Amino acid sequence: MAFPASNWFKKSFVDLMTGVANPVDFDTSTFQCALFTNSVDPGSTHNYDTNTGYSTTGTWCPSGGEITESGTNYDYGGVACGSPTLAVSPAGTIKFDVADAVWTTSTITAQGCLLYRAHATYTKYGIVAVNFTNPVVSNNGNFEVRWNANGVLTFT
Amino acid sequence: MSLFDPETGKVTDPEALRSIQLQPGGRTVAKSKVVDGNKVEQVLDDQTGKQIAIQTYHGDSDRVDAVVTPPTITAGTQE
Repeated sequence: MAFPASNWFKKSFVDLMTGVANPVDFDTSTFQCALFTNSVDPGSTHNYDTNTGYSTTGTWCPSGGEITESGTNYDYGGVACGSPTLAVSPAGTIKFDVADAVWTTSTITAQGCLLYRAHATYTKYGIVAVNFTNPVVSNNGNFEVRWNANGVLTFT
Repeated sequence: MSLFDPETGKVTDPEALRSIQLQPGGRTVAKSKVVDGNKVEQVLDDQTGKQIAIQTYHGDSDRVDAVVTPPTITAGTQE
């Protein structure tokens, strides 16, 4: 397998809407963006239905194709994306957005990224994963994921 | 000034339209342009043919900057 097509994590929303303890809060949780190579193995095209997100083992984990820390100036788990907002914008659309992710002075070759709820003990629920479809490269420079002005994820 | 708008992926230099090349099947070929001595290169989304990132190769060093501009994911439009 390889980095799956871009998609959103259904289980994160199912758990939120069914009263599972400590779900994602879309305007107060801490969110992080992690970068991955094309070695991610989702195991199934429907991985997004059941996968909970970032973890120490499994699909979205350091040994599962995340960018290595050695020589990259990248730390496992990625970087924080602040200022989360969930709002009706524009009318008729629910829009979720966060601040951009930047790795400075980095040497990275990434195939895609995972945005997830970061927490020390609670489930690190995935929100979206984006497949760049081609490797994107930085060398001793900035690697930036600049989220779309229309938001990271929308429900229409 | 970049040939491409990093937010929208649209061509900002109308003259560049003349040099657009298409691969068999109609997909756009990734383009590059030298801006202030730095090579600015598109990375295209293989699925849509649209720009998903730009990479800037600095002419005075080995530095390469990358800016990825993912499209918004819209619930209900993926498998």
